[in-house]
This record gives sequence, C-alpha cells and structure tokens, in this order.
Amino acid sequence: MTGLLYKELKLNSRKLILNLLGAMIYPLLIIFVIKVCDADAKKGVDDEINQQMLTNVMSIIWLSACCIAYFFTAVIQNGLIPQDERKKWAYYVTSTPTGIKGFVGVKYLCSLFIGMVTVTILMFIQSLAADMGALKVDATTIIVGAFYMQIFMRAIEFPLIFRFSSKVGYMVKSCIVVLICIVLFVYFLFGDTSMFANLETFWERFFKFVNDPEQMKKVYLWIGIIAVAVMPLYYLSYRLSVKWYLKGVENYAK
Amino acid sequence: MQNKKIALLRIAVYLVLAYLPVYILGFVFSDKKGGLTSAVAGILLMLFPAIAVVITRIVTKEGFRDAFLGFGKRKSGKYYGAAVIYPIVLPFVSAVILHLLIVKNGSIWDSGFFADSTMTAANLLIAFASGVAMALHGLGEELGWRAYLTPKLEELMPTSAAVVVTGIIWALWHGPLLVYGYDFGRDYDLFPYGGFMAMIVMCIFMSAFYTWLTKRTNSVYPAALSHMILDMFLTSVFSMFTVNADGNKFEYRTNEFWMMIISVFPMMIICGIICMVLMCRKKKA
Repeated sequence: MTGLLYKELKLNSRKLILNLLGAMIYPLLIIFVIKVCDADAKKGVDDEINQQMLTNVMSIIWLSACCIAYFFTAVIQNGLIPQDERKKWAYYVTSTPTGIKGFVGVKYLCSLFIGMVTVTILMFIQSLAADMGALKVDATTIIVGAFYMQIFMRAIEFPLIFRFSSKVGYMVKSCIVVLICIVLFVYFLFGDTSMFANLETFWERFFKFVNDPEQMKKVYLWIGIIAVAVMPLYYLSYRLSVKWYLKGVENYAK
Repeated sequence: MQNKKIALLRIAVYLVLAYLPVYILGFVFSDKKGGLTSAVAGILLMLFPAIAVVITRIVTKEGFRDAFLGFGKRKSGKYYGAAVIYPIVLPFVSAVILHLLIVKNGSIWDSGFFADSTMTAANLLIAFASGVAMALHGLGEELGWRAYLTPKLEELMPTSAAVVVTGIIWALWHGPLLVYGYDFGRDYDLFPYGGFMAMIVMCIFMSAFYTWLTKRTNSVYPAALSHMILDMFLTSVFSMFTVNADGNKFEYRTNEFWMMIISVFPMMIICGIICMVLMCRKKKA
C-alpha cells in the first residue's frame, strides 16, 4: 500500500504542487483586495450598521474564495482515478498482495490527504488575513465544513467512476446534477419563491439570520452532524468501490 | 560507535532546525501572556518539527524509508480506534475529577457543558470533525517527535529512556510559550519553572502514548490524529466544564496551575504508564 501511495505522489507531484499553488493564489488575492477595498469603503461609512454590512459582504467574498480553492483541489482529486484506467494495470494490481482494497484505498486516502492540505492552506491564509486586519471573522468552521462537503462529493463520485469508468461515471454524475437543476427549475417556476421576491429584503433577512446567535447555533450543529456523518459515508463509498472495481474494469480500454 | 555518533549528529541537526524557528517566532510574536500576537506564527509553530525532519533527512541523505509514512501493519484498526477514543474520553474524565475535587461553587451539572444542549452537541461534533480535518497540523509535530527523534534516540538508549528524553525535549520546545504562561497561566508559585516541570511530566506521558501508537501501527498517522483531536477537545470541550451556565469561571480550591495538574494529568499519567509497560513487555517478549 505504501508503494502505491508513493506511486501516486510521484506521478502527481507536479500537478499537486501546481494545483495547490493555484488554490492558494485566489484566496490570497481576495484577502489583498478585501484589505484595500474594505479600508477604502469604510472611509465614507461612519454608520455602524453599514460597517457591519460591509464586514458581512467581505466575509462572504472570503468564503467564496475558500470554495474556489476547494474547486482547484477537486481537479486533482478527480484526476486520480482516470490515470490508471487500463485493463492491464487493473488486472495486474488485482493480483498484487494489497490487491483491489489497497489500490482503491490509496485513491481514497490521497483524496482525503489533498483535502487536508487544502484545509491547512486555507487556515494559513485565514491567519495571514487576520494578521493583516483584513478579516474579522473566524471561518474555521466553514473551511472544515467545506472540506467535508468536498469529501462527500468524492464519496458519491468515486464509486460511480470505479463502476462505469471515468467517461460514463462523469456522465452519470452530470445527469444527477442536471436532474437536481431541473428539480430546482421546476420549484422556481411553480413553488413558493416569495422569499426571493425582493432581493434587498432577502439579503437583509440573510444577514439578520447570520447575526442571530440562536440560529447560528443550529447551523453549527447541522454542520457538525453532516461533517461527522460524512466519515462513515466515505468509508462505505470505499467499500462499494472495492466491490464494483472489477465490474468497472470491463469498461476500460486495453 | 560510529553509528551512535551519526545518530547523535542527526539528532543535533534536527533539534537545531526544530527549535530555532519556534524560539525566534515564540519570542518575537509573544503577547507576554502565553499567547502569540501573530496568527500565522501560531499556525506555523506546529509544522516546524515536520519541516525540520524533511530538511534533516535531505541534508543527512537518510531518505524517507523509515519515516513511518506508510499506513503500517495490517489490523491496525483498534489502534486507530484508541487514537480517537483516548482524546475524546480524556476531557470528560478530567471534568469529573475537576468537579469532584477542585470546584468550590457548583456541581458538574451547573457547568457550561450542560447549559445549552444545542451548543454542546455542536461543539462536540465540530471539535471532532475539525480534529480530523486539521490532522496535518498534528502530523507536523508527530513526524518530528515520534517518527524521527524517538527512533533516533532508541539507537542510543533503551526505548523507555528514549520516550522520556523525547518527552523532555518536546516539553522544552514549548519554552517560549511557557515562559509567558501558556497552558498553566501565570498565577502559581515558581512561575515559570513550575510550568516547565508540569509540561515535562505531561509530555513524557503523552510521548509514551503516542510512541506506543506509532510502534504498534508502524505509522505516524494515529498519533497525529490523536494529537489534533486532543488539542481540539481540550480547548473546546474541557473548557466548557470550567465555566458555569452564565459563562463565568467556577471558583477553585486551588489556582489554575494546580487545577490543570490535578484534573487533566491523572488519566494522562495512567495511560502513559500503561503504554510504557506494554512497550517494554513487548520488547522483552
């Protein structure tokens, strides 16, 4: 298993470094922009409520930057499986002592490791932002929450990719996303959309919700429940991938 | 003899690289109260032992063959389980001791832990989830102390002595923070030397537990995971037992320093002794 892990690191080291740098650059740029814009914007704003509003907006921009960092690293995670989609390799690795369990396990562990590196990078950038005075909120819970969201996405994707090969797997994933979009579209056409009727009041209500400690407690609780629930799900996803691996091999090219 | 000299040289290189940045950052960015004025410095401190190991291994051309980076032996699941359960149980045992022996005004049921069930549940879950997600920070320390220093010291002395020496070196590495009151505050006799002594005791027994995990699994990851979860649980869960429902600190029969020692140390010491015995017994067998 260690050998397989070494193989992954050796084959993907450049991609890994470049993507992690890519993941770093965007949030770094954002905090510099926040630093400059925040100071400029607050020059003309004396009102405490508006200052709070500005801080909220800057926080949302920062959180979106964190999400983009996760997108960058998702690219590496998604590239881990397709690079080994060859029948010869699949049958060879099945015959090794570590076998399918080791091979599939390494893919899952690498994906987890990449997610953890992203958390470390974002924590570092958040600390930098705090030192610069650019950020007044502690987004650690959100960063950790996004990590589990990323792991959750991989837990769904990986078995599909192992079962149907990457081409069909991504198609199945796309179908699921399109289906969700259609459901949302239908909801927006025929469902209750009164809360989006006036965007100004929507944001007002949103920020009121965010600044309400009682509501945030519930949000934190749900983040915690989902995060902890993702761990066994990730393991189940691994077991499923192990089970489906040889069925998926039939779809590979030579 | 030659091998011992080489091991000593490698230890010296590693220690200089691990201590120097931490002492520089620790003193430059100290808030003089035990904390740091720079959040970046705080984040980086835990990573320096790992950085030191990487540089040492490259400089001394040792390679990474014995770096405990693999996932170790088969059937290591129970040790991973122990690595997770121990840091979760420790704050609760400590809280029981705290309220039985130290707190003057109120029982454990009056503590902040039982005040708000939603917040408590959220804290517990998020502490665990954060510990796992940020396990790389734990790896930063464990890669240095357990996966490098202890095995190197074992080339010079028996395992038990290596664990003790690692504990002492690990505790002294926290020096710049301890000097200003990190972990044990400032309100105690013999400040800050008492803090150093307490930290040495704590690190020796924690070192025994982490070394036991590393040796049993032949991997550094359980120790890293356990380290990070413990840090998270001690800061977010145990602290809830030290305050009442209104968020005010309980009155203690003693000062903060002895509160920490009496409540948190017993389980660490017992667990450390058990791990040390298990390690030595296995060695003899």
